[in-house]
Amino acid sequence: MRVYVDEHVCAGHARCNAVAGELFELDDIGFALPIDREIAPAKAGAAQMAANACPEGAITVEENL
Amino acid sequence: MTVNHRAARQEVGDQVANPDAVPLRARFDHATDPQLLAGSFDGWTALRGESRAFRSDLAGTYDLWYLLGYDDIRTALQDYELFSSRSVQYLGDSPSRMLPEELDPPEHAKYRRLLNEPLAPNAVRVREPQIRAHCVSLIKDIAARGECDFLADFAQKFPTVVFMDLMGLPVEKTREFIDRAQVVLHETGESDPDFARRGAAAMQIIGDIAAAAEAHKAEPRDDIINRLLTSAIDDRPLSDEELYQLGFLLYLAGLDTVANVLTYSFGYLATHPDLRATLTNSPELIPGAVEEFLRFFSIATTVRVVTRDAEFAGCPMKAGDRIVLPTASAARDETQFTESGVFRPDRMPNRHLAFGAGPHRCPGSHLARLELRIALEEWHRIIPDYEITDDAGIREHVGPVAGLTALPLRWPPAHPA
Repeated sequence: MRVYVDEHVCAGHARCNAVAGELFELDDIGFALPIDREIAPAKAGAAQMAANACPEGAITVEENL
Repeated sequence: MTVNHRAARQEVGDQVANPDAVPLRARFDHATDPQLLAGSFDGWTALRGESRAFRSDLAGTYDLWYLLGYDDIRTALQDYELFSSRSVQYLGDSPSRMLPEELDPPEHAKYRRLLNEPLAPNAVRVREPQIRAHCVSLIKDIAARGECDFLADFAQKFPTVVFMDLMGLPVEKTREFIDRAQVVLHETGESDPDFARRGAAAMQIIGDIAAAAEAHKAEPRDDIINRLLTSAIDDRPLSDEELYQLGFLLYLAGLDTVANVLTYSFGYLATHPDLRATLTNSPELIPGAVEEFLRFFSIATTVRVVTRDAEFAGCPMKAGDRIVLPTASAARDETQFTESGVFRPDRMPNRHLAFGAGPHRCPGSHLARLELRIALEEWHRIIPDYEITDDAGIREHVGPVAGLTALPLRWPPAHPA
């Protein structure tokens, strides 16, 4: 699974970190660190919950093609 | 009120009124609309049930477009190029530009970053012990009485004291500060038509901030005013005017908002004993309940200025028009929140827009969440059972922020301080 955080869309709500802090870390002012990486399928559920928690829609979770 | 479909704008060459066109609600004003004042959250839902958006001609020289759906409101808040924050008033303009609220990117970021750091999640978290201590102290003052006006005696005081502490303002002046904020935020075009009272209250607030800034220059302390005094913009210090304007916005933003969400929430808890018992017995559920209270009672209605002619949300907008974005309407949108009228403390997902979206997302959101959580935790530890004494005198007000006018509560007085 690929998880992508778009730093241009992130507005610093910090909900991703509240829901799945092990996958989504914040910088000094509470904005999500921009990530674009693989995660284990077992973590897909948590990643999707975080994506669903983001009011901006800044997080994408998708199957690898 | 009249819903006049035929008065909606017609495309060139269109001879027949478009039945899907955006309705006009003549002279609609969300601050005075009787249906909203009778129950604002249900009122927005009723409006949303009739149309995706509607037009008001209240402003006269430009149209006001009320957008009611979650998707439209969120997209509008994110599209700062089409929808500018250069004014966030739906009638006229602020007497002096609110910084950073009434700036757009890229200039917005220069001022916004001054607020991000002191209000960041980590910075807020380290203040939790002081915030909790303030909260417990206020509750203990009230507990032995067996009754209170929750709004005046707790909901306004708690975030005010916390915020004044954060801002380095004199905590002994709490009541005066609350009263002045009420004038600025709650006088309307009807009660204060030439803006005289709001202007005077605003000047007093700025005077308070100026006095605190002077005191800080003599004796620096670790708070937001100190950070503002020692900050740079474009390699120069903030001017006095910039400092006062930033302080003014922070002042208003921190006082009324948390107070109103607290009051709505405790009003709800007072009439829902099962939920109250659940939160008292299982405080680990409180963070989820905080998100649901924020959704259920999204109080802010913000405004943007249309920068160019465009069709958006089915509305034929012209440059200079303004859009009105009631987050209360987004919050109950069924397309986003299943059974939106049902309060579920464990609701997931819950990506409400209580704190807005886009570059102007409320910078105080982390502090607000912490205050709400602490209030819910500490109040129920000391006063787990309470009821509304008499709801006959409780009114609602709507405007930039919605709220109740009072919340008289009483409880068995066997809770020693």
